[in-house]
Amino acid sequence: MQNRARPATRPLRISIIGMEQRARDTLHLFFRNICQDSYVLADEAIADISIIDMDAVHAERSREEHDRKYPDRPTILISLLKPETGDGTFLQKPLQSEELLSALEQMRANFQKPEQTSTPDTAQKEKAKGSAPYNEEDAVPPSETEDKAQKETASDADPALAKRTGSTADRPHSRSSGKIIPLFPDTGQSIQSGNKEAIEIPSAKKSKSVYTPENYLQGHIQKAYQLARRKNRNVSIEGPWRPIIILPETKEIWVEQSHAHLYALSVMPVQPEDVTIQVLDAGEFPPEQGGAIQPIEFFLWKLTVRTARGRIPENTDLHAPNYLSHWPNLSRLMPIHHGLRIAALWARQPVSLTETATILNVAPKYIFSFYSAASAIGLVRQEIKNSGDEGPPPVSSQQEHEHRGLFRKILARLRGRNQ
Amino acid sequence: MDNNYKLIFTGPVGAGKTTAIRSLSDMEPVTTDAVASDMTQNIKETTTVALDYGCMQLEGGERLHIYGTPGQERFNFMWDILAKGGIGLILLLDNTRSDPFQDMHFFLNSFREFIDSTHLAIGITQTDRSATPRIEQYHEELKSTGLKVPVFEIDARQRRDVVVLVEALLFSLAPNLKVSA
Ligand SMILES: Nc1nc2c(ncn2[C@@H]2O[C@H](COP(=O)(O)OP(=O)(O)OP(=O)(O)O)[C@@H](O)[C@H]2O)c(=O)[nH]1
Ligand SMILES: [Mg+2]
Repeated sequence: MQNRARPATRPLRISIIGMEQRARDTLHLFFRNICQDSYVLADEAIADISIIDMDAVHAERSREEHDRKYPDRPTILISLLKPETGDGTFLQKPLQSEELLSALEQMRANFQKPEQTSTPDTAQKEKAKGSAPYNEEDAVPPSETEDKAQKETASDADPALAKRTGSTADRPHSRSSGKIIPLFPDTGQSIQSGNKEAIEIPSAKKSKSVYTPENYLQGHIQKAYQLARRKNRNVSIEGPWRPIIILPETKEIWVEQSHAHLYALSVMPVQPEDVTIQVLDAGEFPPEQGGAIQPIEFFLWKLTVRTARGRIPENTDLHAPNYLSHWPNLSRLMPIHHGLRIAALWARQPVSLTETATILNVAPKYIFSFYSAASAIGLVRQEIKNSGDEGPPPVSSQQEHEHRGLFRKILARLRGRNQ
Repeated sequence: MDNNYKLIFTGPVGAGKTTAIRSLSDMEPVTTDAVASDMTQNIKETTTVALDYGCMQLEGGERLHIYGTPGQERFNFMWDILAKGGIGLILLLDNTRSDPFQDMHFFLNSFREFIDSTHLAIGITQTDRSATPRIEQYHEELKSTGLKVPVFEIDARQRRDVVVLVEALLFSLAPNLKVSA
């Protein structure tokens, strides 16, 4: 006969819904190493607590189904963006260890109340399973293969992001020194899974996943470019930088300052009142000497990657399908990790940011970078989605091309890993 | 085990097919450049009269055969035979030619059935010698064909450029393809 009033030390069983394997693995390691197994991952049917990733494909539907089946089960919702209505416990990504732990500990307190029982559904399933408090079969082991697959290749690593990743080591962290590992791969680090490796979680303040392009050089250049095209005249942009002129006819940009300098300015907020955008007289061109001219597309793409740093412009809809008007010229634009795959997916059909992450199994920051850069150069727009209108089913992550194995080998060869 | 996987390069005379295949192939490509004794008109110093052939050895003993069609149109009776069983098409277009759009449509029409059953990636070469037409003009031109395909500026002499183009083709075929480390 099983004991419903469990001792406080019994591990609580956590079911996670809508998360990719990497995220599950991270949680598994976190519970095992940091929480010393006071929580374990378990099958949805027998869990005490559920964590639902609201950024997953069909998350709303999964949640409804979950709530119907387990109406009394405490649930934690996680998402990149705050929900409009706030029922239930919500945690914003990237998930912070302290926040997750405190939410779980609060729930644990409720479990320790003697009157607390499982829902009928849960009880039934538990009986059927013979009900050990924690069944090894229900636990989700970490998969290291997924992790390897995520590692950046030399050919398309984004130096800006790489730099940022490196700086994570400098962040203060809450526990004793050791490896620092974020709960989710969004911050750009890979999971170090291993037997006795200490897993440390940075307690750095939450990185936001949205930004306001209008407050940066990127937005001012976009605005000036729009004006230049509308008037079909050269336009100058004055601000806390040396002269910049946009040439709409040839779709080029002239900058007096070194590019390195301008890219360094990319993250500096510049308010509109500090910027003057001026339509130049016909025939007014940049001086013949000095400065540098390049296609505005290349400049704006790179500047945006630097400014966005893995974020998306505010007001971007995570769930709206993204319509790519055509492929970006990716052989010449600054590489964004997974950029080719994202472009290939969106060229097939409009897919939302959340679905893209699921289908490609790619950390959101890369998808966000790509989205920001492609929309800055006018290649992507979001389609208005009617509620309830799911659109065409996207390429599933399971769907396999018959020559998939071969393609993988060709890619490995092209990237020089299997010479 | 020798599975007959093929990648096809096509495009007009001088677009860089032989050069691109050379940059991918394990061995010096077998090319039939300038062997034709009946070649009367000298468009360029050497031209491929039959086909180019290169090869990439893959893990597990498989091989990818890389074929280049001859640029000269009078040899296009070979194209169908060549394309059969191919995994996809790379079309190279020379930006310095008098009408690159006409070239593009010619090759798209010739290979349309093959493209529809596989996929296509387009590389525009010689952009260092002629900056126009611009890439977006190619996309504009492609609209009428209903093909939304990668069009990249490439220099066939740069392996990296050729590699990005082939990768784009592979991901177009299978966007959720993962590269194993
Ligand atoms: N400047 C410049 N030269 C290039 C570029 N791409 C290729 N070439 C050169 O263009 C010439 C023609 O290239 P090939 O590879 O012989 O062209 P092909 O398509 O095989 O030509 P055919 O066999 O005659 O159909 C070679 O000398 C290449 O080195 C480029 O982007 N810029
Ligand atoms: Mg040739």
